[in-house]
Amino acid sequence: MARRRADTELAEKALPVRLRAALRLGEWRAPGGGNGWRNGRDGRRDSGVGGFGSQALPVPTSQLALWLLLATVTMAFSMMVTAYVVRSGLPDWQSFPKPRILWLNTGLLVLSSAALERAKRSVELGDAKRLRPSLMAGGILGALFVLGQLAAWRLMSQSGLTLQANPSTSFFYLLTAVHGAHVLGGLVAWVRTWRTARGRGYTSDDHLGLDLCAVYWHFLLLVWLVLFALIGLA
Amino acid sequence: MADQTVTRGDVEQARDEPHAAHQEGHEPHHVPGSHEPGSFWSRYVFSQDHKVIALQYSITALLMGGLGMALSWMLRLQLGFPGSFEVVHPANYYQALTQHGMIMIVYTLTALLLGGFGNYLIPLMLGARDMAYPFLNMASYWVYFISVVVLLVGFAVPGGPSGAGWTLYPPLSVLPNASPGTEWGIRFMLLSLALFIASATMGGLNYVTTVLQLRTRGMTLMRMPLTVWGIFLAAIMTLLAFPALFVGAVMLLLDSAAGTSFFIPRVALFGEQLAREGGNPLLWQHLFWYFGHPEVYVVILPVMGIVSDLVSTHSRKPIFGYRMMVWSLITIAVLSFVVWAHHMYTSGMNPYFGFFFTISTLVIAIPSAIKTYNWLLTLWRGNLQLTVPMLFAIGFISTFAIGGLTGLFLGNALIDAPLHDTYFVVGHFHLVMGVSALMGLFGGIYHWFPKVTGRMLNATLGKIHFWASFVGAYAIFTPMLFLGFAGVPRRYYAFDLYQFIPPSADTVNVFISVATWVVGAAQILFAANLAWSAFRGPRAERNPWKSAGLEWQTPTTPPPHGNWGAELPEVHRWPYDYSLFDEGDDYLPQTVPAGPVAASTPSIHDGAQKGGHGAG
Repeated sequence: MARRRADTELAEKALPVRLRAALRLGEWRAPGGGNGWRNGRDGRRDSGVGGFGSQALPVPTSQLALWLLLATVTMAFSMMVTAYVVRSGLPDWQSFPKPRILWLNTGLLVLSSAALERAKRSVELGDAKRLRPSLMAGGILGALFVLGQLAAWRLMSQSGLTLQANPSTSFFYLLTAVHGAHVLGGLVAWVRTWRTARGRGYTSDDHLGLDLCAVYWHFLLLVWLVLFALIGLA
Repeated sequence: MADQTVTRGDVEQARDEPHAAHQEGHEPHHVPGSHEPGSFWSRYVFSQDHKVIALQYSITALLMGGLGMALSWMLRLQLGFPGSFEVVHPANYYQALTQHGMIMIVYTLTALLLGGFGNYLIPLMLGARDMAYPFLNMASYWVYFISVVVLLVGFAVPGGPSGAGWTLYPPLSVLPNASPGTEWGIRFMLLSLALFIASATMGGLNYVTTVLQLRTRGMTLMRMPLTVWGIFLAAIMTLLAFPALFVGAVMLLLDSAAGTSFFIPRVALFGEQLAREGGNPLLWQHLFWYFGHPEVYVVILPVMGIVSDLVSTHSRKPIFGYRMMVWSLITIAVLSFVVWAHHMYTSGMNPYFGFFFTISTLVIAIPSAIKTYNWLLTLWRGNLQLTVPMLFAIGFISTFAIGGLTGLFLGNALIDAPLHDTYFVVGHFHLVMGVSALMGLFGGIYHWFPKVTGRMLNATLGKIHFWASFVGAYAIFTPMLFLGFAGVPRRYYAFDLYQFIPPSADTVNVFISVATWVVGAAQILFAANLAWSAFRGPRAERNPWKSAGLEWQTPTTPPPHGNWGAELPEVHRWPYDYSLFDEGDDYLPQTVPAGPVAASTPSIHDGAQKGGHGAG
């Protein structure tokens, strides 16, 4: 037991005393009166418990979390877009006519974002009547967007523009698939928002969940507009 | 705050009542005492307590580490004794090599450092009750677990796991019969990686928001211990770097399973022109390394933070240059995103890219060097306690310095030309990742084991573990540097057909293999120490290392659910106030109120004249 207790004692010095003295180990002394670091021991320089840096950022935590997620998603799309732009600039790029339904789908997504924005504004203004129809419209239009994208895929593969046909089609399917998957994720968030709206309800003071859902929605619209422009130009 | 001299009484009071009375101003995620989970399943399996999740991550990651180590033994069997063991043949040699690399880097080191250390220490070091999103935290572990299952299932599928190297370069990794495991193995690997990336993203979101939002009163960013800084910055890097691998993995999966040609150029396989064309293998390399380089810094940054805390605690000195240490970590994190193509110097890209990336790679050595000097300056004239954690911390500094210096060779595009894909590279990355990262990690385990379990690990076994690992690792990887100079290529099953490789290389390989098994035995000893001490080890004091960190101030050890009892702690100082008094405890925990410290005790010189400072 005595030996084991020694393990826990801090004074477990492995070097003999004279060697320690010769190497002048342990001679460092904490400077009195503070060592210049503002967060050190000197009470006069203690920044106390307030001030910048000792508190959380002045945003709701879930908003911060969403922006971090958007940063991650932005990186993913940036990688794909960069690869797409570089590849499409090479001489052997075989462009193909994009299905017209993509314009309809774009319109659906724009309307969907507008509906969610309307829902958000109505809550801010205290107009509860418009919340539910706008929120419902936003979700339905988003779902229609996904169906429209699937329809575009169908049209393309029927005319021979399959996933494997050439790099141009491969990138098209890749970009729209990853974007569509994120829209589906947004629909999951939309379901939760809808259930909250129906449950405890959103008020003009408490509508963070709705706001975040709308932010995510608008982000995906922005991503789609960039993709759509690049797909159209390539 | 009134000027008050901090007396011994204050220190003892702070120690006995570890946290001042203070109202919880932050989002109350846990009302103390009312969140006790009920059943076995919700307490130990689907727990949302960050400490349980951390242990789940750690145990899974350490088991995967054992598997990765066993795979390395297979490689050493073949390299030391070529053709002697029927269990190793060319195909499964490459599979063992690939899986060893992927498992160690991703499923062991990343998971253990972020998921294990990050989950356990962040709330405790910040004075929080748990992570910002406990449910997401739990989900992140189970997604990691599923990714491990998928990976292991890939070992058993037709064709076995991928043998394309952990970098999975196409077209070899996806063309049929071009390498082992192109049939199903590569697909399971990519699926597993995608799941891991999802888990890492969930975890990263949690760590970053927790560090930014859930610090307790008085815990400014510049009062956080460097362990938290390392993990925090690594989490931010994770969020920004992993998407590149995710995108690449999706594209490679399509190339493998759906006949696309993102990465496959016009190519003939075994003399037959394939129908695929239009892709570029370089695209994969850019995507992979844009992830891959930040990934290795994701591994080393938490370790650097941990080592800073170990070195300061066990030297009884504040970390030298705390502010520079923080900025160095930030600089490394930022720069790590602009060095990736130093893995591609010999890929045939424009030489001016080599010029640019050489510069950025050499520049990133500067903050790493600053940190090394600061560790050494922390040790300088410190009151060194050569405990097992300290030994590992010093071992880290040694191996990181040597391994890092070999990186300077490789960072130069010109010198990389003859060294690329030789054993010099293998020696380099093992020294920095396989040895020094593990040294820091082991040091952290020995250091915080008493916190997690309330018991001490056996110090004798710990010292054997350290010396065998330290000397053994140098014995394994230093010869590889010389093999690399001689031009011995990596990822080769055998060398007997190459006249430029001298027979002495075979002798060296025998030596390396034997050293590997000695080091391996030491790891088994460590595992036994862990398992035994967790249940039968000697009970530890509340703060056996006399550390000033906040994590040691919980009311009980191991910490209770909710960590802090009724009141959250209030922080008044940084976690490095050491060597302040000559008698008794010489440190001030972070919770001790600020005030000028009385220099009322005799100096150490007086003690030396009187016949030696306490031999202990």
